Amino acid sequence: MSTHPLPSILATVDVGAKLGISQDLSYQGVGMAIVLLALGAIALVLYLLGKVFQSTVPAKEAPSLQPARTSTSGVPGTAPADAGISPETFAVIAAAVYMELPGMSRIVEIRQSPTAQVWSMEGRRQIFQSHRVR
Amino acid sequence: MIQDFFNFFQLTAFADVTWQMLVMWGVVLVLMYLAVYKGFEPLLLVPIAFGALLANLPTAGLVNPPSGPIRSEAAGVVVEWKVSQGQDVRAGDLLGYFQTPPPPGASANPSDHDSLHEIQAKARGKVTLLHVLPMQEVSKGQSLIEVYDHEPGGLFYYISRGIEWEIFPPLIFLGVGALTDFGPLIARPLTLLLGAAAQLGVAITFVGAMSLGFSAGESASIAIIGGADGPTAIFLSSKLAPHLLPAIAVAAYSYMALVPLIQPPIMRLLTTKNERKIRMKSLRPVGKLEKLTFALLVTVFCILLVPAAASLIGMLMLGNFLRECGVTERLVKASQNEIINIVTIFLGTSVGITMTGERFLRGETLMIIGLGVLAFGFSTVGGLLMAKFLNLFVREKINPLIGSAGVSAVPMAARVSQVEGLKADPNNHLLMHAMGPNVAGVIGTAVIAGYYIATMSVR
Repeated sequence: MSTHPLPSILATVDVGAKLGISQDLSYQGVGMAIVLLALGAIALVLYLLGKVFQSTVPAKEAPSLQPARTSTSGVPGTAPADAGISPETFAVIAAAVYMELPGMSRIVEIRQSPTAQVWSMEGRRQIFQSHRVR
Repeated sequence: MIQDFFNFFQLTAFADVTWQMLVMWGVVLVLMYLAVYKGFEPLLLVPIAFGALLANLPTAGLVNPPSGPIRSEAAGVVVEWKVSQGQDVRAGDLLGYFQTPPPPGASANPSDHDSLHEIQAKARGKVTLLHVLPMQEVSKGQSLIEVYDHEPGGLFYYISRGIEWEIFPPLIFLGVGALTDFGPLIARPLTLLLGAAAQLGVAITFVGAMSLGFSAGESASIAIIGGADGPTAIFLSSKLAPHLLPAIAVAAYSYMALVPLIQPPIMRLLTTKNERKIRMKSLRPVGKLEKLTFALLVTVFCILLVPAAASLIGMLMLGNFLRECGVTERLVKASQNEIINIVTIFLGTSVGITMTGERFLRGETLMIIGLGVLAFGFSTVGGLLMAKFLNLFVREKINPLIGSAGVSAVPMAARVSQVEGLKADPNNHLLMHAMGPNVAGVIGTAVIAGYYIATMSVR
């Protein structure tokens, strides 16, 4: 078992080498310092970038990032928050839910189907039509 | 007729079963039990265990390498040849002797270090060419001798190239990147330091392994278990200590599954009840542009800092960029599902196929398993203590329980933080806060692995 001189960052340790305890501690100390400095530097840059983004982006992005606003209550009279659906439509949906489902219900989300899905549904309808149910 | 049966029996492999194989069948059953019935990282442990079963059967045409050139594994000289051109050889036959120079700083006496190595035939065939003469100096990777046969190599010989050539771990990282949301980390960048501090277990285990007699490369490979990142552990050990790969992979994946048992006692020991009740402010929403900038920033900075980890960091961030850019849905889906799943099967079985009784049933396997617990424990300590340290300076206090999530083990370690937080305060949800240090740990482990690779030379 041979002991090798303390490695510096610029030198290399032989993969089969055995290090003395003090050399080993120094080697690990440098390694930990590099990891802390590297991730610390990324953290600092991210913090600064975050400040920049927060000062410019929020006005545009904030509404779309609040999912609570797209939901509404099944209780009649609650003001709908989504600008894409009219209050009358909300009232109709809430009334339909109230009539069809037993007990008190809460509408969490209302979504419009993407246009593409209509075509896939039509395709499925045609496929099912081609089979005779016995 | 009886003689025919007897002759046929001689063709079977029953007589080739060794006691090591029988013991390894027991190990395989334990691994399968843990994976199938206890849910210990089944996606990896099942392929590893099955690969180990195949490795411990007298198989034919499964792992045998193809004939071809035999290359030097290090720089040195061929001392002498024991075969001549045109001679038939079988796998394992002695072809000659090879001598490596003593490591720097070692005594000049060759008997003080293992400098003389046998050159063995890897496959059966005919010696067609001796590339070097006795006492001729060769460099690492240089072709020494040519053995030719028409038989191709076994299936797992080719699949295992994915580990040897360091292809599988970066591909797994592609999928991990596509599955990871770095939003919580970007929203609170300070948590990167928790992921960095959680590498403490790696550093301490390196010292521990070294004091037990392991070499620098072996110690680094064992220590990286503390990073709780399977692909990085496999990547590093296949580079620095390939002979320890099976034990390291099994320890790494087993302990990842044991995170809910290993971490909580340490978390409770190092934190007060009031600290565990700290409520953290909700994370701010992070926009697409910010996430894309993060992916590019980490790629450029980390690769410039540790080029040796370029394949890991590069693929991780490629996967993440695909995910966040929003215009490559098919590629994201492939990375998150087909690619990572296929590579996981190959990676697991390739690791398992190296678990032969001769390689696994050694004292050092037990030491590696013991050191693995040490690594996980100290990594947990590092993250917790860093959180407490940061609380001395920051206005918005950090719940130290999220520090333990700095050991990667995504998302298991973050779930442990959540569970422990709920025990202290049933209305305090730490999961999203813990995801920050959790994914930071992946980057931290890749950086320290890059440090070891960059500072260690494989002769």
